[in-house]
Amino acid sequence: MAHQTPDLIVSRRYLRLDCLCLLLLMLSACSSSDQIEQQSRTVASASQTVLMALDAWAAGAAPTAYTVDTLQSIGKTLADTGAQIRSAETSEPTEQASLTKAVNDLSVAVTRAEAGLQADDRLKVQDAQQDLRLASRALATAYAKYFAPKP
Amino acid sequence: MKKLLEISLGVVTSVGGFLEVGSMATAAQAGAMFGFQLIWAVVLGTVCIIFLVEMSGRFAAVSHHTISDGIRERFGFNVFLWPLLAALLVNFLVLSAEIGGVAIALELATGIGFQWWALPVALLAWLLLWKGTFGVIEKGVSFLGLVTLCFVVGAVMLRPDWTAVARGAVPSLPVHDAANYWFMAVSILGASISPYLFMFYSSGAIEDRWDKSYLGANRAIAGLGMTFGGTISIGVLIVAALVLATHGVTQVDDYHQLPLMLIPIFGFWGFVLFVASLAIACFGAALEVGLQQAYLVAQGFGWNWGEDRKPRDDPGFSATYTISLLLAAIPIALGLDPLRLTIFSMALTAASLPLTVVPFLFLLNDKRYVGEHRNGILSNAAVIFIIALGFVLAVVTIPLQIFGGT
Repeated sequence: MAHQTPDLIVSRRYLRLDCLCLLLLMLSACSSSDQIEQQSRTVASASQTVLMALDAWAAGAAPTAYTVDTLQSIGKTLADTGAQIRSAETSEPTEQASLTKAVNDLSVAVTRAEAGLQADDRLKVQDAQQDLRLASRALATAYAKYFAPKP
Repeated sequence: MKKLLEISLGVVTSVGGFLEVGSMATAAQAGAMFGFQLIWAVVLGTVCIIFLVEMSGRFAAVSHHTISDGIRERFGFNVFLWPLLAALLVNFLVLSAEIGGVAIALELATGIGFQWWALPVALLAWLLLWKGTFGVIEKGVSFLGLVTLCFVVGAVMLRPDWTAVARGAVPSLPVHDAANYWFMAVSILGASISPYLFMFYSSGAIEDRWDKSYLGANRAIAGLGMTFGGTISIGVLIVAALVLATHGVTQVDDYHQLPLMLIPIFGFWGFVLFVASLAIACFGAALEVGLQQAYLVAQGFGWNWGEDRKPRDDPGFSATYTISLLLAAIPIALGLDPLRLTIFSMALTAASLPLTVVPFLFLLNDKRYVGEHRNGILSNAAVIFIIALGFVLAVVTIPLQIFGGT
């Protein structure tokens, strides 16, 4: 114990450095996964908000100005969160791409719904609602695949 | 008969004045994210505020001093400076959030951005304080605030599982999002145990010229008024849990989401009721917090004070609420998100509690002030518990703000 060769000391130092790197890598991987989980939930909640607002508008229970403002505000949230999901470093790029696509589809549908509201075009809004529902389902599937246990 | 009328009036004003942007936003967020699980935080906060409000009223009625007066006189100005600065800072944030709440309501109603409403709202509040009397401020706005009872009606109409609601009143550990859960609990406690509430109450007791004959009324108003007020907050939480969470809206981080709570229950009237509730509750709170800033400074420096006096008779007092309202409107006029500001200010309110509550232990046990009406074992135990809770909240608020803040 008292007589360690310089090689042994160096190799132990490398081992510690490796462990530290591994720990940092694990922490960053963990935080990136947590980040994607959190952002996916934000997107899911935001898309349901849009659907609720559009349902209320269609039933004549919410004014157009309020519904447009809601869609604009939630649209920004979707765009920001989508960008964060896209830029997050992950070990599952395929699943990440599916999530990103679902968020993009949601953003497009929200923009279409907003245009329909501004033009007072009920048909366009209904189409956009349909697309929103489909994109929400796609998001749920992509989320489940991302967090499914891997072999 | 006259006393009974006064008690009823006091209870009604407490109920109407209880809900403000902080309790509304925190209860909505908690209900959407954790269902009924955080009802215990509202219950705990309400029990604490009942004790503090009762003590503030008793202190004012017996000693004819407000709490701020008492702290300055009993401990000297140097000691009073710390709670004064803490309360001024927290009140400033709360006042800004309340102005933001009214501005949001006006944006929802008109479609014109909330930033544009901040200064007109501050101006209207100032005009009412400048021209109005304490009675108008206290009773007028609080009566209108009864519109917030729509949340209780909504909660009953949704027919919740009352056993699950009762289970939520018992503290439990989170099953997911632990940091968010505790941050929400801290924010709810901050929204419920607001120092401005009990300090304003003691100043109000002096404005209304309370004496020892009001001790019974004080107990009834504190107990019943705050209990009914807490019930409205629970109503908001139940509605958020049963409407937002069941529709998949689990994160309330955009104020546009809030009206959606009442629309599925009342249709278009739900939108109207929400906007009216938010506007009136926040406007009432803005008036009270603006006045409280003036009470604090005027009482702290020994100036003339009183909402029933003409502004020329108490220039320092009037100047303080004028400046407070103007300064508090600026962050909202610059576009600071009122919802984020609200949640942040509620957490900070919780953290500042020890500074404002510790003096209760001395003042309410000092014979020179309260004579035979000193605290009993129960009241002292409650104060010690609130102080301990305040210290815990002060320690955990900042880490939770970082890890769990929205």
